[in-house]
Amino acid sequence: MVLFTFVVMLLNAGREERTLGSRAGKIIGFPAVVAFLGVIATVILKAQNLGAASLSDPITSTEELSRVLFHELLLPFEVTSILILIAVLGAVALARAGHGDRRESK
Amino acid sequence: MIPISWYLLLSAALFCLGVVGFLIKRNLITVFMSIELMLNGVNLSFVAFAHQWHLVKGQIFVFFVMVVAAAEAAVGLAIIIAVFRARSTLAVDRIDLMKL
Repeated sequence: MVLFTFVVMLLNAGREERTLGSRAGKIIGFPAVVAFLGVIATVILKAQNLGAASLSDPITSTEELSRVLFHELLLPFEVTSILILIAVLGAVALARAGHGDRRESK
Repeated sequence: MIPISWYLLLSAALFCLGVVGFLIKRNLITVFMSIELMLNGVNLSFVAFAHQWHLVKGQIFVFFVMVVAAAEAAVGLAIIIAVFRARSTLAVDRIDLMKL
């Protein structure tokens, strides 16, 4: 969310304009989404054996959580770190590429 | 005792709000935030089921979804900044060509 706020602040864009695309989205999209929500709601409400979740249940402890995360799911955890590393590299490369182009054009 | 279907309904409502925002809004940043809203709606149902069935893996899956969302946000916002530098607009209708 902080990232979003920074980007909104950085770009300082004006009001968004209504276009043909948004009008089509309103006309077709709204009924479609309402129908979708209705289908999901009926499915959820019709399912009888879902049960209830009480907030007084013993909430999952950090110990249990970390045992599963660092023992059973260690490989996905490590793979995720590589993913984040690549994402950071990509973000930095993308953000710097614009600078380089502008300098060259000057 | 809160029925689990309420959580699922809230999750579906969040997801549909994200879809509506995605379809209607024409600002690149708003579209991006709608995608995040959809991801968080799905996360809510994951956590609800994990809490009901006392399975930890559901919550851990939510962690992974959050991590992927964060990576996506970083790269996506970098792309948005690059697009804005190149075209000085954020309207998705004006960004319909791959080349400059």
